[in-house]
Formats: sequence, structure tokens, C-alpha cells
Amino acid sequence: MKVDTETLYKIAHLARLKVPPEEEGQLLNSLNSVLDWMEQLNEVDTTGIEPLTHMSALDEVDILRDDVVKNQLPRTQALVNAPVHDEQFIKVTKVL
Amino acid sequence: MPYRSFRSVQADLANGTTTCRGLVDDYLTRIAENAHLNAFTEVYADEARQRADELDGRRAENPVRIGRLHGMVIGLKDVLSHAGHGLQAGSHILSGFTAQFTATAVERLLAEDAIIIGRQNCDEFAMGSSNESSAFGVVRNAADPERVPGGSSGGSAVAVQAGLCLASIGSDTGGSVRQPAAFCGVVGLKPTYGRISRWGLVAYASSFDCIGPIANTPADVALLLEVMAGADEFDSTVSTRPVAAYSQATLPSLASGGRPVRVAYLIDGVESEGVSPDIRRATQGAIDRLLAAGHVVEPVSLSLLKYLLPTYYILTTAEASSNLSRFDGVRYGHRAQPASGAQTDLVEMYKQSRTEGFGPEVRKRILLGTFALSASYYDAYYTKAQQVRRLVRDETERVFANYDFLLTPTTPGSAFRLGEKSDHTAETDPLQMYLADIFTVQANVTGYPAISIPNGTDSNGLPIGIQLMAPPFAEESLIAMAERMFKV
Amino acid sequence: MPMLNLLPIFAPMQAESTVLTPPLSTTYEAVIGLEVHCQLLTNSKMFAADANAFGAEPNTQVSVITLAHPGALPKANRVAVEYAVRMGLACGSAITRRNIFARKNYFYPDLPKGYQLSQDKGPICVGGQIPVRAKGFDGTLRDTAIQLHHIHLEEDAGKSIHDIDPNATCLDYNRAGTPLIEMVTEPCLRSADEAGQFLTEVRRLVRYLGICDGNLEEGSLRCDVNVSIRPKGVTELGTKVEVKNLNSIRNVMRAVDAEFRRQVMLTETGGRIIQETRLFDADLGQTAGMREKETMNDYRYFPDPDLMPVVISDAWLANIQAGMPALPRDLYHKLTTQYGLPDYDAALLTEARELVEFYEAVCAETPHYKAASNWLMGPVKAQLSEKNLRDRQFPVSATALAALIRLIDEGTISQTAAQTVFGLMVEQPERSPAELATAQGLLQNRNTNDLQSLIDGVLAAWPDKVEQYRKGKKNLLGLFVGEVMKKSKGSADPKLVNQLIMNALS
Repeated sequence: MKVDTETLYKIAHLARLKVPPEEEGQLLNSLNSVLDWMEQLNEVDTTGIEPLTHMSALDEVDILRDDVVKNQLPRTQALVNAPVHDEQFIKVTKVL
Repeated sequence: MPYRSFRSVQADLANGTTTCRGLVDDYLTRIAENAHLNAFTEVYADEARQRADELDGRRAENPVRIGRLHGMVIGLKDVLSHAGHGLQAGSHILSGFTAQFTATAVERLLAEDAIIIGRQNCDEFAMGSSNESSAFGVVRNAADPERVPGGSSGGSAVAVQAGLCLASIGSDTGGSVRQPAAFCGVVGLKPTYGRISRWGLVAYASSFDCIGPIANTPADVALLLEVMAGADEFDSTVSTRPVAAYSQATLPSLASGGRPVRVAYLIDGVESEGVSPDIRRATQGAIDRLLAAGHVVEPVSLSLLKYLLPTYYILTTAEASSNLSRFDGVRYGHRAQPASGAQTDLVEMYKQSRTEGFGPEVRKRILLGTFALSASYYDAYYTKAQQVRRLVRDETERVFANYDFLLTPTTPGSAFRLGEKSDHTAETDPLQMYLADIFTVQANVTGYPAISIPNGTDSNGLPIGIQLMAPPFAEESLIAMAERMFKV
Repeated sequence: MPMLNLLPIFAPMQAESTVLTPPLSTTYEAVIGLEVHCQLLTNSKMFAADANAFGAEPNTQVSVITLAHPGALPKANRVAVEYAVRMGLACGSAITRRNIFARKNYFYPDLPKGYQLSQDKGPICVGGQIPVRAKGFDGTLRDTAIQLHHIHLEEDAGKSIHDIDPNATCLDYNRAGTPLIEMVTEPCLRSADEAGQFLTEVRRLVRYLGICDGNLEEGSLRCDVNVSIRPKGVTELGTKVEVKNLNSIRNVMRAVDAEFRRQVMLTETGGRIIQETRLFDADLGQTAGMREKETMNDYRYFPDPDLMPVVISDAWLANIQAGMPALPRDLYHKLTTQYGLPDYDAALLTEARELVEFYEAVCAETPHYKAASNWLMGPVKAQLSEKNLRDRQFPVSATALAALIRLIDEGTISQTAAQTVFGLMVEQPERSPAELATAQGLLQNRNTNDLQSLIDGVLAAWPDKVEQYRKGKKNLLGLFVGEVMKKSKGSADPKLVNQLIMNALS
């Protein structure tokens, strides 16, 4: 499967990234090389094989939390890293 | 001369030859002298001195009641959350970020009196095999400063290599602890997936990431594993299996004179043209020594070997593309300034912040991962890779049905020159860098534990590493075997 | 799957709904599906231990997990899982035994991780139904079982507030991570009234189960609708339009109505229906296209690697089943059989679990089941706000009400007097009905001498009416009785008075 320019920009938008025009060609090449390489997987017969989704041991399931309140962050700490905030809220540009 | 084992530190503390403060001062001096290696992004000089003084005071009062890591000076890879300290994952996108909680692994080290001396340089978001993609600049190999230290835990490996701390805590997603350990001539362990809690580890690929110790000896690595490992209420993927006394596995009484074991070795490690002649030779040398010691050592081949890397890249880029979505400039980190006068809209703010904040390698991997997960391609790439992952694990399991360990060179080549594989402007093969991981990724794809120990040097005097892999949760025997090979 | 009693429950109508004139309603059929989100009443959030409570100061119920700090990891809330299963059991859904959480990836400021933890394949409850009785667009009443497609677990996003700062959007993450169940129906609803009845029933169920407040106005219950039309008899589905921003059951009904009309009108005039998301304007009573076209999002769902599968074992399921409260239809059945109440009473009393439980408490102390029902449906309910009902703050206690009913039955006070006593009981809860009746002189007077003197007085005051009565106007008896009752301040036994007057004038 090949990535064309249109697809590249669609994917970039989904990922909220810009594609600097000067990087476009090189990025397309890189992506296509890597994708071609990844397509080698088609050589493997995976008929009837269940995808492996979780790496922990099969018996380590039902990892659940009791419904108890704890470990909250005081508001000052919650806000301290925000680029723009006041004493109560984190702020961003208005969604136009 | 820097200490090269924790036992010797403990001995000298006990007999009064040194103090915690003395150790810290020495490390700080050596860090300053080796600033050109760029191993540390931040050094906690005052804090480390203060803590050292405090620990010396406590030890004077009660020499017996001291933590198990009392006297151990440790560096943390810049992916481990440490409350009140900067955390950047080698990236501009986390500029100015101060962590608000401490990783479980780090808390356990501190609870045993460890001294954290600084935050170590690494490839951005742990994506890389040469530490050339950090926002803080390249890290240099102490054996030859024109060469890479390996990555992504390059700073962590160099720090141990150059005696800038006694041990480092890194992270390993595709070989990021073991490969730099091999390039720098030190010991690096990737435990079984889930052995150490990931709470507080900046996520790259959630089903691959492991915290791993880097040190001078298997004994030191074992002790660190023992302190950090075990159940944790904050991580849903952590194992609740009991933590063995890993540090006991390297005791002289156990390590030498043990029974013969069955070792499989990947035939590619000694025969493939893709592996450098020096490394093939060194690997054969290790095999011969094992045979001479009376062990069974037999070649195996992995039918799925060539599919390891594509599987790894599809799955890790996919998980990473999602894990890195939280870096958007809204709640923390770098937020792009709107062009003067212009009322920037939100989507523009996101794109600008993320494009400015992430480096080219990270952006490329995010794009790859987003592509792999996108609706039209999900089954072709993502599902396929997960199926192959299961097949790889099954095949690996079959190997271990007949053998105790799997032996490979840690890397196909030794430390390459800075810029040799990462030059983005030239039409260099982007896959070259990725192939450096060929022997290490199997442990991440399968979740099995693996350790790299030094195995001599090549004709340029550069370190070579050899890797041992064991079945899940068999770190005790893995470390014991590593100790036996290390001593020889 | 448990066998359900599909007897639909008639619930009092919440609002008027449209009845379309014949040509339109016979030509076109509305095809409606609902997506209902319910915020679960757990103490802590779905994947983090921050408090899950309404009305706190902004950004005070947050953690490093909720804010998606680097290195933070989720951990699932056991009680939220149980609440989801409860809802599934109540609706007769199949419960998925091995549950996986998935990431739904998209960017928005109120979504800290850049993905929402939800379920994609294998939702916790599959299928199920909720019976309703409602009117179609042609005005005919029908009983239907609204089929559910599924119910799944997910987490809520934070709040974006646009009207505090003119130049910025303010973000409050208190709500981010709140546990939600999302119920998705099959596109089997056919009218606005059906949608309204369905929502009313969902609201009742979640309150019965104790898993959600069920409050659309406050946002603990949220509803989006999908509407399409097709000519009657056609089986293919038309283009689907989603309508959002519906903050009351009435507005859901109005929106369905408005959108159906819009689509019919558009089709009739040769226009084309576009697949889009529209917002309901409550003031204008119309749906409107969104200013910013929502681009089709590719959510790139994949199983979350940080959360382990949640396996609902036989033992756990049995445990949840055993802990289920009685459901409305079970209690309805009990009221009509065990207590012999008519349908109307049973329907009204089972509107809320708190009400029927109060009823049963009263009936534990008196065998006059119908009387108890009348008191509850009338005077008690009149004094009961929504909030007080939920908090079980009843205007009178069950014991006191039972005592009052006993007094009437014994003839100690008249029905009329009882109304007054009730009012006093509400004001002075510490005093018994008997005390209050005595204190107010409301004890029913059956002393014939007393009554006779009152009667004599009344008859003497109305000589011309007495004359008319004797001449044949027998209905004037009521007037005389009424006057005697007034004079006795309601304490006279009206039956006895009636008898005595008849004797006196015969």
C-alpha cells in the first residue's frame, strides 16, 4: 500500500501535525519505504490466529479498583503546568 | 577511580573509607569533567548533597538500620516521573513541565535510601537507537566521543560507563536498555513485561515498555530489580507474582559450580553477514566458553526472525501515536504562540504546538502509527501485526520448551559514528537505524526477560555485548547465568 | 436470558406530542433511534479515584490520571462495572462475560488523553428491550418493546465553558472521567411520543436501580436522536440525521417531531436529506445545521493495552443478580395482585421506587390498601417535591399515615376532617393524628343530642327551604347536611346527620 500526498495530509490532520512543505517529499519516501517493509508481514500465514492484545499473564484479569475516593491533586498543582490559566480554569483559544 | 560494584561501595562505607557525601561529590566532579558526553540533562547537585548528608547522619546513628540501596547513587532516564522535578522525555513539547507524582519504581528506590543524582538524556520519547534525536542534543560514547552510545537510554548507559553514577534506571521498548548497555560495555536488563510497575513511566508503547536497570555488574542489576519489582495498585498490567530474591542469584555460592544448562543460540548471530565479523567472532567465543564449561549449547533458527521488526514497528508506532495525543499544549507543556494579531483557531494551535514540540523522528512515527490504525488499513497492518506477535510468542515458547536460555549478540554491529545512520537530509535508508534492534526486539515482542552483558571489544576497541533471554519471570536463573558468564 | 414480563406499564404522559394529519402520517414513517448516556452514581470516577460528585469548585476533583499527565495509568472502577450489569439485567440484555476497553481517538480540549476509554467490539450488554405504551404520529396508542442494540461503558469528558471569558474557553476537568453507560436503541421507534415514553422509562429504571439520577436538566442523563424517514411499506432506511442538544424529555419529543416534519417537507418539495448532525433550537422549536461542519472522524479504535479484560464470572453475575432491587414491573404486579390495586394506582405508585417503598411501609401497618393508595396519590404526593422524594423526606411518616387511616376507619374522625388533620400532621410531625384531631376539636361527633340541637338550629334558620323539601325537593338534604357540617366545624358524622335530618323532616 502506498501513501500519496492526499493521504499524507489526511493522516497528518488526524494526528494534528503539520507537514512542512520542504519535508513533504522526504516524509513520503520515508513512510512508503517503511510501509513497504512492513508489508512483508503478508508473507506470514495468520489464518485463524487470534490477535495478541494484552501482554500480561492470562490469569491476571479483573484488575479493578474499589470505589473509594483518593489521590486527588490539589487545584494549584493541577493548574501549575498549564500554559494559560487563572485560579480556577485552564484556558484555550475559543473554539470558533 | 569510580566504583564498579555496589559491594565495594558498601564495604568502603562500612569501613569508613568513604561517605555518601564523598561519593556524591566524586560523581558530581566526574559529571562536570565529562559534560561533553551530555549524559545528563539536569543534575541535582544540591539536592543530592543534602540527601547524602542526611543519610550519613542516619547511618552514624544506626549503622545497621539502613536501606538496601544505602550508598547507591543513581541516575534516572528522562522518562521517569519524579515529583517536583522536571520531566521532558527528551522533548521540547514538555518544556517546563514539573512532575506531580513519583513513579512507583522510583519511590521504591528512594525508600531504600538511594540517592538520585540527576535526570539523564535520552532519545525523544524513547524512540531511537542512538540518542541522536533528543531535544537536548546528542549523547556521546565515552569509549569514543565521535560515536553514539546507543539508544534510547543513551545517557543512562554512558553515565554508568563513565562512572558518573553507579547505576541508571532506563526503559526498554525494543532494546533501549540492552543496546546502549552493549555499546557502552555495561550490563543492562529488560525484565519480564509487567515485572516492574509502569506507573510513572512516560508511555511510548504500552504493551512493550519495561523499566530496566543499567549497572556495572549483574549483581547490581539484580539488587535494583529486586527493589523495584512487584505488585502495584496503580498499574493494571503489573504482575502480582511474588518477587524472588534476585540479589541472591549472584552470590558466589550459587553462581559458580552450578549445574550445566541448555542454551540455544540464534544461528544468525554467528553466521549472518548482517552481523559484523568481530561480533560473530565474539559470540562464537562465548559459545565456546560455555561448551568448555560443560553446558549444552545448540543452534536454533527463528523462522519468524525477519518479521520481528515490522511487527514491532507497526504495533509500537500505533500505540505511540495514541499515547502521544495527550501532548497538545492544553494542560501542560509547549503551547504555540499565535502569529501576532491573528486569532488562532484551536486546530491550528494543536498542529502548531505539536509540530514545533515534537522532533522529526517522533512525528514520523506518529504518522506511521496513525496510518496503521486508520479505518481502511487497520486490519492489514495492526491486526496482522498482532497475529504475527502471537505466532512469534508461540515460536519462542517452543524454543524454551527445550532450552533454558536463548543466546544472541545484543547488536549486529558496535557503536557507529554520530550521523552515520540518522542523517535525514541525505537519501539514507531509513531502515538502517531500525535494523540495529534486530536481536533485542524479540524480548519486547514476546514480553520475555533479557539481559546484555559485556563480551569483549571489537578491533576498534569498542564494546561488544552478548544477550541472554529466558522464559517469563525466570529472572533469577537469567541473572545467575549472566553472573557466571560475566565472571569468565 | 431471563424471561421478561413484557406487560407494558402505562406511565402518565409527560407532555403533549404531535398528531400529524392523515396525508403525511400515512405516507411516511419516521425511523428513530436513540443514544442515551447515563452518568453513574459511583463515589469515584471510571478509571481514576477522583471524586464523582456534582457541583464542586472547578478543577478540584482531578488527579494526574484525569489530567493525563505523562506516566499516568488508568484503573477500572468495580462498582461502575456492576452498575452497567444491573442495567443490562433489568433490560433482559445478554451480559458480555469478557470485557475489553478500547481507545476512541480524537482531539478536543475537554478530552485530556486525546482518546476516550470506551468499548468498541463486545459491549458489556448486548440486546435487551424496554416496553413502552405510546402514541404513534397518527394518534393511535400501541404497546411496543423498544429493542436495545447494546449498552456499553465509557468515561465522560470534561466541560468546556465558553461564556465566562470572552476571549477564551475555560476548561473544568471535574467531570472528565465520570463513569457513563451509553444505551443505543435499534432504529425501531416510530414517533416522538415513543421517544418520550422510552426516556421516561429509562429514567425510572436507572433511579430504581440506584445507578443514576436520571436528570436530563442537570445532565446526568443525556440523549441524542437519529431520525430518518421512508415511505410506508419500504424496508430500506433513509438518510439518517443526528440531532443533539436536547436537555429535557419534552425537547427530545419536540426535536423528533420537528425533524420528522422537516424531512417530510423537504422530501415533499423535491429536496434531498443530507446526512449531518443538527442542533435543536428550543426557542424556535426547530433543528438547525451546525455552523462548523463536523468532519467525519476516524476514531482509530483499538483495545486499550493499559487495562486488563474484565471477566464477569458466574459467581459475580449471580451476586449482582441477587443484589438487584425489585423492578417497576415486578412491583406493579405485586400492587395489583397482593394489594388488589387498580392499574391506575399501581402505575402511579411505581413511578418511583421511593414512593412504592413508602406505600408498602404504610400497608405494613394498615390493611386499607386502597385508602393508603388514595392518600399517597393525592395529599402526600401534592406535598412532595422531586428532591424530597429522592431523599425519602416524606411530608408524614408511614406510621402516622397508617394511624390516620385507622382513625377514619374507626369513625373517630370524618373523611373531611381527616384532610385538615393531615395538613396539621405535616406542620407538626411530632404529634400523632389522634392528638391533633382532639386538640382541634375535630373528633367526629356522634352524640345524637349534640347533633340534634345543631340540626334544629339549621332547620330553624332555613324555614322556606324546609318547606320546599317537604314539597318534594329532596336534594335540599345536601344543603342541610352541609350547613350542619359547617356549624360543627366538620366534626359531625355526616352519615348520622343525614339520617337524623331525614328523620326530623319526615
